Amino acid sequence: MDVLFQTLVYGFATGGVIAVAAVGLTLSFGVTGFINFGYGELLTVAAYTTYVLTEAGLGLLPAAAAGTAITSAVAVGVARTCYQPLASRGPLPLLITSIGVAFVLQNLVRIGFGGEPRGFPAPTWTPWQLGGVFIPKLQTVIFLVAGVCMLGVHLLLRHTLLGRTMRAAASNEDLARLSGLDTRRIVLVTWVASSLIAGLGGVLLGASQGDITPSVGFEFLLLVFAAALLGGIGQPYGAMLGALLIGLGVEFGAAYVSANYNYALAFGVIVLVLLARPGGLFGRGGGNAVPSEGGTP
Amino acid sequence: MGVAKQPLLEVAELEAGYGDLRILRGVSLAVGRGERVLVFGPNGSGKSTLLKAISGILRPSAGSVRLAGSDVAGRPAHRIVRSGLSYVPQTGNIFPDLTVEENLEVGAATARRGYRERRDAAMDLFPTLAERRRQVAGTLSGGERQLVALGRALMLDPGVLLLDEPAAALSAAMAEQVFDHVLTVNRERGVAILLVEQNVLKALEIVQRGYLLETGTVRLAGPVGELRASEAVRGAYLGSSPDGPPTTP
Ligand SMILES: Nc1ncnc2c1ncn2[C@@H]1O[C@H](COP(=O)(O)OP(=O)(O)O)[C@@H](O)[C@H]1O
Ligand SMILES: [Mg+2]
Repeated sequence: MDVLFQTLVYGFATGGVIAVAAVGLTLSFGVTGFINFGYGELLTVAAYTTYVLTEAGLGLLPAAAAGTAITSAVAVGVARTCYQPLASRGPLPLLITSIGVAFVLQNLVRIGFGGEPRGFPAPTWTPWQLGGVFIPKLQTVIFLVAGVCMLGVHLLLRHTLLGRTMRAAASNEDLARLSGLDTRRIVLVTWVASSLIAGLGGVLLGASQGDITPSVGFEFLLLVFAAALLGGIGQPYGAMLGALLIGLGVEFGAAYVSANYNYALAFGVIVLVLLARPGGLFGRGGGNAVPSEGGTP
Repeated sequence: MGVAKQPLLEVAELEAGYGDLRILRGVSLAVGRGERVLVFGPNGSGKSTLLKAISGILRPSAGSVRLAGSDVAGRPAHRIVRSGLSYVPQTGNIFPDLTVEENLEVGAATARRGYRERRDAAMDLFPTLAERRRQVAGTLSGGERQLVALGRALMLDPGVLLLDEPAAALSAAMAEQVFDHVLTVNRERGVAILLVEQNVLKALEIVQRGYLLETGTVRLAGPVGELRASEAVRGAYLGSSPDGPPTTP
């Protein structure tokens, strides 16, 4: 009973972190049309800058905020120098470039901090105790922060004009231009939003894992892809649900089977979804959420 | 003479294509304020390419596109449509993931002032839009989608509307309705229409003038009466050739 409950809370926390990352990834995929393998490194950069800034004496919250902002600046810099020049060549060169970006960023972090794990400055809260059941406080807070982030993205996408134009550009880029929208600006704004979310995801990832390594984001990206695929790639709401399922799957697998099977589980989900429902569980049957023409920030 | 007589849209010697492929080989045409003009011709003659080049979705390689006097050729599409020209492509003319009302709102995103009035006016014009306002546009029927597409195109209050085969892929009855709607937009809003349509017989009933486009050039132009009388048009497009069975273009 105790293990079950704790596993549930851990599952929601992990699912929440995956959801944050998956929504950010999905957002940028929607308008750029290419799968960004460098996305995981944005989480890594955010986790390490937060770590460095707290080492330098900043409190966790200001450090996390600054780390997130720096991550976004890195993302825009990468887009300007690496992705924009390839914008007209279609999604495949961009995808391959993003793999290169991932390795460069990851190894820059490794050069700076070495490969051994660093302790992420997460608060050391004692769990709440409710009638004999321990509720991990940190995990609960992580889940709540992730929930607030999801709510924010939801409000942005559904209830602001900016969000609607972002969805419009993702839905039909040519028609967005024909409606008078400067889609290059929208792509840039979406890219910034996506990288800010990645930054938050990196902070949450560091906090939930406790230790960070230069490959922490890259490894996590697999779970994020699994969630995004499960939800129907390019669809933020599907990604949220997919993330919760993957998060629960990971934590239940770890508690009741073995933590070593996380990636096997993720790969299994990816393969099954691609075989059975290429559009994702919540996607439209055929799964054609991909915009016809890719753009880059 | 002078400014008042100047056509709203004046295309001169327009050339455009895809990569090395030249499609438009110097097309000239004009649409006056409030006028209804047809462009027709065989498949692949460049009708859609012409509308893309006028609207800026495809960058013309030569020629001019004058909108109310100023040359907009080569400007990005999002700027051209802000200066009074709207375009409804043949396919991909709605935002399928957005609701009907969101389609209209995005259509008006660059002209927020007066949006509500324009939205309400579009919904008065096409009551279906009001009935379906919260429905995701991708789930609508073909005819309803065309209304969303028309409604969106009206959100920037255009002086001229470019329509690419709005009735294609619709049943005869639905096609009839769409043509009626196009006429309504023209008559009640004074919006000039540049229509591309395969059903020439039907289209000639609702336009005033037409251009026959063949292999990227204007082969024939004139008022409806002249076009109906022309051998070339009767033979290939109206199915009443005096010398032999009608040929499909
Ligand atoms: N995106 C494109 N890339 C290359 N060629 C194209 C493209 N779109 C159309 N074409 C070619 O341009 C020619 C004119 O096409 P289009 O303007 O669509 O003709 P129409 O609308 O009159 O049927 C055709 O030969 C077509 O194959
Ligand atoms: Mg065509």
